[in-house]
Amino acid sequence: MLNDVSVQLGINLSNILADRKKSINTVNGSLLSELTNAVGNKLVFSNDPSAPVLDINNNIVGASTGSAIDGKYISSDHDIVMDNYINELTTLVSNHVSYARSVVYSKMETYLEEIKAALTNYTLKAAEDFFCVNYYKLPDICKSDLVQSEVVPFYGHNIEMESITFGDIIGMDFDIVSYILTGDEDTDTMIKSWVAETGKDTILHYVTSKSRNEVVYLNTVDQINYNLANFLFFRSLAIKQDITFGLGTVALISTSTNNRDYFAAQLAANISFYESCIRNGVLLSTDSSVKFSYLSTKDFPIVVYEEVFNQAVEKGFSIEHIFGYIAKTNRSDLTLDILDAQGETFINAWNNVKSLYALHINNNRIDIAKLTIKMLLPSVLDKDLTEDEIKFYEENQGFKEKTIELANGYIDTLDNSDLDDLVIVVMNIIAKIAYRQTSAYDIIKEMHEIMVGDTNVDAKQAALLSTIKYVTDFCMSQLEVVDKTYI
Amino acid sequence: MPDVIIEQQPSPISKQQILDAAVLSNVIELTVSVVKGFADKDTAGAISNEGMTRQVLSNIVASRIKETITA
Repeated sequence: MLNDVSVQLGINLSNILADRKKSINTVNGSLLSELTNAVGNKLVFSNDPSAPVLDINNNIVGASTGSAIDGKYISSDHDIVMDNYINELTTLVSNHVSYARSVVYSKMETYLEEIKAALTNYTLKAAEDFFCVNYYKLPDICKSDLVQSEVVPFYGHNIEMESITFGDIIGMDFDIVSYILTGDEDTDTMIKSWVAETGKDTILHYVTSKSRNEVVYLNTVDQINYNLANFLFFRSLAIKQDITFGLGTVALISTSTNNRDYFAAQLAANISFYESCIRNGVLLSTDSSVKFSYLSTKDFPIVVYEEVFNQAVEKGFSIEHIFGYIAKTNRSDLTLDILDAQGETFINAWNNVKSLYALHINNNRIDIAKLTIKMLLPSVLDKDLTEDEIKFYEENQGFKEKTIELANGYIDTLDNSDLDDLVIVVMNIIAKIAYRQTSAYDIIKEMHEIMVGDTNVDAKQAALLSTIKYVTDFCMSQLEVVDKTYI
Repeated sequence: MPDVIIEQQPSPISKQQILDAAVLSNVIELTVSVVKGFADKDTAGAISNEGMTRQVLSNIVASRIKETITA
C-alpha cells in the first residue's frame, strides 16, 4: 500500500519532471524496479476510499478504485514486496548508521584528538626564542674587599700555574662551599650568593676537572667563575694545608700560593676587561653567539652586560634592538654609542627578520602538520579494532597499506587553510579513505554539513536528516532521469 | 522546509507521469517507512521530539528527490 501523502508527492514530482520534459527509468532488477512492477495495473494505493488514487490503466487521478472487501484490507503483491524491503532496508540502514557513528566516527574522534595533542605539544618558537639571553653582572664577591685586596693587585702579573694531580682525592661529595669560605661573614655571604647562582657542582667541577687546561674555550662568564673558584680554593688550601695531593708541606704551600696568585692574576684580568666593557658602553660579550639565522636549528646564547643594558633601556631601547644588530651585522661589538646612532635601523632590521621568519614558520607549520597526521595514522587504524574489522583486514590483504597510500596522497595536497578545519581532514582520511568500503563517509559528511549549516541542530537530528538523505539517495541511485517525449 | 506541496491534481495526467509518480511514490513510501522503523534509539528520539510525522518526513524525502531530479 502506498500512503496517500506519498502518492500526492509522487504526482507532484512527476509533474516537475513532465515540465522539464523528463522521465524516469528504473534500473532493471533493482529494488525500485521490483516495487514498481508490483504496483501492477490496478493496485490500491490506500485502504482509505477518499485517498487520491493512481490508476495506470485508466490514467485517472483522484478516483478511488477501492480494494477493501467487506471492510477488510486485502494485501497486494506490492504490499508484500514493500514490507519485506522495509524490514531488510531498515536493518541494513540501521547497521550502516550505527557503524558509521560508533566505529568510524569514534575513530575520527580518536585521530582528531591525537593530532591536536601532537600539534599543541609542538610549539613553534618565536624569532626571539632563538636567543638565549644571559643578562650578566659581575658577582658581588668580585667587588668585595677580599678581591680588591687579594686579586686586583695581581693584574698584569705573569704567573705560570703549577699542575696538581687531583686524582680521586676530591670527590663529588667534597664540601667545596665550606672549603672556600673565608671566615669573614660579609665576604662569605657574597661567596654563598655566588655559589647559589653558579651552582655548587659547577664550582667543584672547575676546581677538580681538567678544564683548567681548556680555559681558553670557556666563555667570558665561565672564565670569571672558573678563575674565582680556583682562586678561592687555592687560597683556602694555602691557609689550611689540609689536602696534600702527595706533596710535602713546603711544596704544598709553594704550589697552592703560586696557583692562588695565578688565578688571582687571571681573575684580575677578567675583572679589568669587564669593567672596561662597562665603561665603554659595550652591550655584548665578545663570545656571544652572533652568527644568527632564522633558518638555523640551533640556539644562539648571548651575554648582555646588564649594567650597560639598563642604561640602554633608560634611553628607550630594548632587547629587540640588540637582536636587530646581531641579525643585521652578525657581530658582537655593539655599544651604546652605536645604538644611539642607529637604533631605529636595528629595530627595523629585527622587524624584517620577524616577518621573514613568520613566513618561514608558516611553511613549517603545514609541513609539521602533514608529517604529524601521516605519522599518527597507522596506529589509529590499528586501535580498538572490532572483530569485523580484524576479519575484514585478514580477508583483504593490502587494504590497510592502500589506505595509507591513499591517505598520504591526500595529506600531501593539504595547505595551511585546511588546518583550520581538521575535522574535514580527519573525515576525509578516516571516513572517506580508511572506511571506503562502507557508507560511513556519506552519512558522517551529511551529518557534519547539517550541523555546521545550522548550529541549533543536535547530533540526533543531524543523524536523522542524514539518514533520510542516505536512504533517499540509495533509492534514487536505482533509477535514472531521462529525456522523454510524452504521448 | 520542503517545498513540495501536496495538492489535488486538477486534470488527468499522462500514463508516463503516472508511471513516474508510481516510482517516486515508492521511493517516498519506502524511505519514510525505513526511517520510521529505524532502530537507532537516538534517531527515534529525534523523530518524536521534533514532531517528525509521516507527512513531514515525506516532504523532506520529496525535497531531496526534487534536488536530485532537477540537478
